[in-house]
Amino acid sequence: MKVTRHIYLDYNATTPLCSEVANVLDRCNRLIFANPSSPYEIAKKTRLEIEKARDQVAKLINCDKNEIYFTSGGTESNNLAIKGYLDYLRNLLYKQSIMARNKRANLHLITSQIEHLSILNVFRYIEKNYKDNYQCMVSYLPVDGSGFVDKGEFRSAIGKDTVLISIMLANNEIGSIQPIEELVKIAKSLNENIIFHCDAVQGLGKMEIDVKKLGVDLLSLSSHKIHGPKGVGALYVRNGVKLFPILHGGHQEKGLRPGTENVCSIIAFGYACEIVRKNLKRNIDIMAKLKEFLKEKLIEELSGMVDLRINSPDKKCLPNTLNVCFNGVDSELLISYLSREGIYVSSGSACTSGLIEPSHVLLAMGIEPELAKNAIRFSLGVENTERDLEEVVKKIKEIIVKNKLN
Amino acid sequence: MLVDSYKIEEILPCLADPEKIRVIASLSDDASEVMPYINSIIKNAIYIKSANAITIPQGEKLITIHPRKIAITRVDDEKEAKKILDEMLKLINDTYEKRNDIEPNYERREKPKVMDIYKLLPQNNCRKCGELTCLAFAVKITEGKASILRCSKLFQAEFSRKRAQILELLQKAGFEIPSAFR
Repeated sequence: MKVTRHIYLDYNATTPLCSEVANVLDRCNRLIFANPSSPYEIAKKTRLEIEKARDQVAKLINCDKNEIYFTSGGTESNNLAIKGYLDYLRNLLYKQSIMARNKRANLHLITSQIEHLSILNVFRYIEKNYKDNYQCMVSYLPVDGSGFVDKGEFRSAIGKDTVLISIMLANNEIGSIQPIEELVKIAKSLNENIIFHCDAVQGLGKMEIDVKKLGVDLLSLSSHKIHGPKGVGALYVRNGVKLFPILHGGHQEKGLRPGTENVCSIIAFGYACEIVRKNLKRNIDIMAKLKEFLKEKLIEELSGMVDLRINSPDKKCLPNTLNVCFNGVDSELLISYLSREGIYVSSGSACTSGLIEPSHVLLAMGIEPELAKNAIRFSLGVENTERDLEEVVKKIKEIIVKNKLN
Repeated sequence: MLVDSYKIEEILPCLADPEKIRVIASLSDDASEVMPYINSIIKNAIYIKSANAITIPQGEKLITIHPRKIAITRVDDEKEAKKILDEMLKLINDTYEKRNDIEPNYERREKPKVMDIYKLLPQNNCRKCGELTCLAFAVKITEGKASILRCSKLFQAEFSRKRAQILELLQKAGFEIPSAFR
């Protein structure tokens, strides 16, 4: 059977370029080629366009444009924030130690168990490799059954050695939105020198983000989650916060991110931010309604034939993300059957060894390992319709019955 | 004959090795019954009764038989996948034919002892994992019914050494440790 219609429900993985952004990208690719670092007139045009994009990104998260540094995406922003700050701090401590003759210090870092791999694996790397006089030790905070960091646990984890905290704004798999504003207040009230980083990649375009309100020092963003091009993102660095670069080279991005700028993608990312800013409230409404519709349909149509467990929290959740376990239904097989029908969803769990690896997020929430293998993540976009979602639920039902997956 | 045929359902990039593929095939019939017998004759197999799955390492490849599917990692191409799947089908059916002469083994190899895990836990019975005691939590872990991530104290900085030891112990025993914590 040839699939004639595609229904994409994996917007947390990536989003398609929107037509305005595609036009901008196309125009840039044809017309703007000069290296922004070059001294002549046509290079100035490139520089101005990049600065305009910086302003567009800054406006979306309410910061000053000189606090935005363009990177290659969320992963690089996360690496730069964490390693960049620790390298700066360890260097500073080393310089001070020469004067003070105090050559050892433990640096305590805090993150959560449900972070994206581009955070967890950076911390794992640091734990294993930053082992000199300034050894880094990491606490991975647990979450409750709905995927929220416990404020009490958070408070008690902070000690006199704590130097850096990284907690995500919204979780990519289940959509839980962490109380960053309160966590920052707690952290800074205990020790005002703690640097707070927030991975906001999954929140952008799906909720309001105001760095002043959040109070964070560092915040990571990615373009391709908001209908912009892939391979570009940004790191917000609050004025006054110092980082070392993790790449070394020229003076681009004030030396923090050397390398000739990804000019066209940066400009397109800027436009994508502007479009998000204009439509944010409307988009949130549309996505939230669609999600509610999908949730009701799933319960209505499937609860008699399969045990459903909704893993996404009811409140304080991204408006587009619904993570569901179909108890006893192998998610990898269900995804494969759905994809043959032109329906694209994700399991939210990675398969690395042939055994389906249950998602670390669901395990951290206390979901049994076996049940965690039955999770499906629906992540919606404004382009989806109720008709699409009705069709998806109908197909899931058909597939489960036909293949006796339950 | 226990399983009549297989059908390749999915060919995906192998996340562990970008040069290779991973292949998922569905089975026409349920292979659960033969798993403890395969576990008995293949000495490096990892049988997880609660998951109803058996993994057979073959060189760098991992072949996992589930009740109605087989997943293989690090495969060169579809031709190689077919060859392995034919072998697996033969293994399943031959073992099934000879099952009366084989002592089934329901145990996971190197199964960690409850006490080995308990010794490395914080032993403060904080109940945050949902169990009344650390010992009860250790039992749930060995049964594969709880994830080690639920021990919040173990994931605090001061427990990093014990955390590494316990994760290694579990991983060697074939438990699935999320790759972010391996």
